[in-house]
Amino acid sequence: MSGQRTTGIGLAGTGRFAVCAAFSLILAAAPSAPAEEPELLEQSSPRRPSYNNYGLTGLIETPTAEFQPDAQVAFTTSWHNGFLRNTLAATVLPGFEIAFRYSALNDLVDPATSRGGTTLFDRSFDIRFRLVKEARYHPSFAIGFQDFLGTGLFQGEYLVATKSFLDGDLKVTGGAGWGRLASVGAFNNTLRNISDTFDERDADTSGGGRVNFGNLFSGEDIGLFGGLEWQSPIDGLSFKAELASDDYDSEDSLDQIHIDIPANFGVEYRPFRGVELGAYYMYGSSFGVRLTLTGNPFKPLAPIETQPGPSPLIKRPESEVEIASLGRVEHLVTASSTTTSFRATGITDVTLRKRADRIRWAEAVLPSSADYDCPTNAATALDAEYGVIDVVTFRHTEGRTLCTIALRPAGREAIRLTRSAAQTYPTDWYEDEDQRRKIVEALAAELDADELGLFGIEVEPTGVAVYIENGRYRETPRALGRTARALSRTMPPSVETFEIVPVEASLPVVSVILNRTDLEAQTNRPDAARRTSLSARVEDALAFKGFNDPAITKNHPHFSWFIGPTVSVNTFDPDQPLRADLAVEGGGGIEFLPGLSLNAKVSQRIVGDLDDIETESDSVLPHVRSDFADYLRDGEPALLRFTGDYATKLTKNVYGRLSGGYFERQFGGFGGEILWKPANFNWGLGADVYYARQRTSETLFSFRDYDIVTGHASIYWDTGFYGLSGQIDAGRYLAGDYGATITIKRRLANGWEIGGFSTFTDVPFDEFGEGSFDKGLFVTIPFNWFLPIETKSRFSTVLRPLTRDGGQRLRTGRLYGTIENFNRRTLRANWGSFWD
Amino acid sequence: MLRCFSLVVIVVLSACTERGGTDAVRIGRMILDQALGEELETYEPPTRERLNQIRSALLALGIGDRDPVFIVPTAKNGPYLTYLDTGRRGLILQGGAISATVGLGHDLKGLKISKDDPVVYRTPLAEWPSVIKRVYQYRVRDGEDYIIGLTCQFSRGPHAVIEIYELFFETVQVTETCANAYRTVTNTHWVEPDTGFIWRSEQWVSPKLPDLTVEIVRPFNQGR
Repeated sequence: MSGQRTTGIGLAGTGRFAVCAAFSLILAAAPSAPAEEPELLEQSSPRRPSYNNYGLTGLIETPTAEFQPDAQVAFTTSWHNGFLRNTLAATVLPGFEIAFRYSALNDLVDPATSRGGTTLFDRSFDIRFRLVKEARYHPSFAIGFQDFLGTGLFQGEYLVATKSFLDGDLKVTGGAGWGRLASVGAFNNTLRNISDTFDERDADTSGGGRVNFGNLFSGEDIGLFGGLEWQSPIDGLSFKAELASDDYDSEDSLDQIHIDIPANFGVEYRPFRGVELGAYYMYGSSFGVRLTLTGNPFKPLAPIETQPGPSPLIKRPESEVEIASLGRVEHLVTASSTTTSFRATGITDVTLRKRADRIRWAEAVLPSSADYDCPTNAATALDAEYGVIDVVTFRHTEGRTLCTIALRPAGREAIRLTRSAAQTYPTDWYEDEDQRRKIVEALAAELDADELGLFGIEVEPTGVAVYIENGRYRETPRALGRTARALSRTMPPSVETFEIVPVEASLPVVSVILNRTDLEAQTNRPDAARRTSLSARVEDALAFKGFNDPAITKNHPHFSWFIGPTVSVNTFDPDQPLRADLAVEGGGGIEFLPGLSLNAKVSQRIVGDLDDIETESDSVLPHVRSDFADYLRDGEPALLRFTGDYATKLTKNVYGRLSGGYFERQFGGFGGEILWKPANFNWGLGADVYYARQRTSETLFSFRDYDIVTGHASIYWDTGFYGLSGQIDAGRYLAGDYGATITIKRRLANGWEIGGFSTFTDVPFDEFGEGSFDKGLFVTIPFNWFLPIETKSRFSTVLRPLTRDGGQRLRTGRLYGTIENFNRRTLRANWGSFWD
Repeated sequence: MLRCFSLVVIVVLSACTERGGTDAVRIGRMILDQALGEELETYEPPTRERLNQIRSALLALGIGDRDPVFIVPTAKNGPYLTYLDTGRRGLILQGGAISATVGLGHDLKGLKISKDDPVVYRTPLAEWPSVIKRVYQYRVRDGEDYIIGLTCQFSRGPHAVIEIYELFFETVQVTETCANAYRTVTNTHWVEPDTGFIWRSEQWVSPKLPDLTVEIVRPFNQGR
């Protein structure tokens, strides 16, 4: 039996998976910048599709080929016939939805024990892709995999099509289902003609948590399902009717559910934006209800920012050479037609130069008696008479320059370059140490007003490198822009180059080099952020030359602290599926020298019930994580971290760190990490090795007998595709098992992150225990998404179906997490905030 | 004993901080400020004499129907004049047009204009074009840019003598109606007919901000 299953995976399974992977590439085109505010476009766009009882886009029980908007997240709870389904769903890419479901099934047959009459808690994972988007003459098509990664109790696959009519008020859906969805309207599974691997579905779901590729699209029959959704004239009120192809055969046999007709009817209402309510008449025998709460990370809850704006960038005064060469400069005078001949304006002579860069630059001579007003009418008259002229410079007969007028954008750029070449500002200030000190103090004060810290500075006569610590702005370009403005307000005019180096954890991460003349030309102008993005250079920042690098101005030792609330959640415990603690966490650190620090964090529970967890670990592996309940129960207050750390930059693109002490709630030890990540690369490599020893559950200073050397080699890749990034960590885990962890996440421009990970090690699925292998989902929500202030704080949580011992890593934090937002691509993606 | 020791370590570290500006503290302060609110004061317009004590160009900026605030030029970059109050809130003017707002919330980030826009380029009223185009640039908070393109038509209204803090100006009221497929907005300018100088204007700047009223209390004069 086992051999047959392996064959299935090897032939048909792999091919099917390849097809599925190919489907994932058929996604909507990248969005372009909208030409109206998003809220207005949303009002005029089609109504968002509704969810079904399974928490995915659909009718009542059946799916449709519609998809939610990109990044939409939803929580759905539904109930009928003793089936309580709680589903967390997300549109992780346009046309690609995933759902994690936790169901409570009353009086059902437990697939593990084959016994009925008890409540079964079941975890399942669904994915679905759009194949074809709806157009005028054809419907949309989608493919879906229900209970794709779970116990397989509800496993089924489907192909579905949906077409809209009556301006979207009526939607008609029809589809074909396999597995669980093949029990009504069935006909022979034609795929069996292709290969006999499609003949049977493996009913063995013991352990759960793994994908049985051999089951996909298998089975004797294919079922048919379909239905209608009609949006009534009453806003938010719609009606649904469907033919479902799941006959709940196993549940029916237990007298759990009675299927009189394989059809469902319902009414749904949206009382508020983001809330869906549904009531249904199910299978001709019972009633059901559904509640969905949904929102979109692209729509911040607090769109208004009430913080003060930035200080303006101050343009330097024109140098004497510049004044002599160009005089006063006027930009792009009105292009209204003129009826005046240029000779009538008093011009005595005109010379037109056609430069190699195709700029047509006219010089016009005015009599000495001409007044001091720049004759804009004469410029337009010259332009009209000579044809296209980009720039006009007016001089008096004795050679004195009156002014220069740019008539076209090309002329404005030519003037800018000329001015840049003509700038000769004095540099004698640099010889005066007292003046240099005052300049640095003024800069520190300007940065402090924006809550930016001055970590270090190198001032030269014509350039400055400034090292900043940004504890406030989530988007780094915003901190860069504020720093550039501060530099323009404090640096002497001869300083032409601004090099701004963000410093994270005392690591100079990246160097952003800006030309001051460019900034002066770009500020306030339309598309200013884009222009600055194009002219800025992003390079690896050089490492400091030791603790006493003369660039470092920050005082050491430096103290820091934090305190704040934290919520810990435990899910999917059969005794109580959801438990939580509200705790207060506080901590502090002393940085003795740049990068060399002592750090501590403690936690004290305020209220909660995590200490009520009574699950005893049955793991046959060393209990490196599965005794977590003991730590929650016994460790109060808990010393979560107490470490000595040294982080440094070894070369301009290699980072290193050494740590020793109590790393986390369950482990202490010592070790180090190294990371190679050039700022201009979209990938990086890392490695870490730690000696780890397990702490006692009191979570103070004592250890258990268990220790291990653990370590991983890692590769990081930012794909640049819809903010997707991937990471693979391969090595030895805490329980001594060897394997690899694959992590994929999507990061939105506003800081939201959603992702998942899976770890496969040499621990056999059966030995791992329930769930078969370690896996989970995680989400990060930035605070300024729902608060009207600028802050870097964020909320992160990991959703693990089960906490077992295989595939567990030491929780020490990663260097990559410190620097990942400082590469060229991420900076460019957020550059719109540079002038905010 | 060990518990006490670990707690003492943290308390010591916490007490020794030199900057307590954590996000939790800042958020707490903000909530406190918003809960307490601002004290309401009866507004009395300042006299011209009092305004003259401010020795610089001066604008009165009204946001919706709120009392005006006075803002002064803090930077001139080419044709752009930045006017701010002491709380770093204000606007950027290009000629008579608001080309950006600063610290008001849903800020206008930039303004693309026609070359013959008479609100930007001072033009005698007799030479004002009938139609111009503008593109307003915005950004969703922490998100993508978006733009609103409008086509604007001018219509001359009656002559009007307006008072701006005890000084009187002879102007012509010009109504500017800007529209696209989604919206129609109206700007009103009080224009000195011979010079095209706009002494007062009510301008739409954002779909999420009320109209702004700008009065030139003392015009900016380069070099003085």
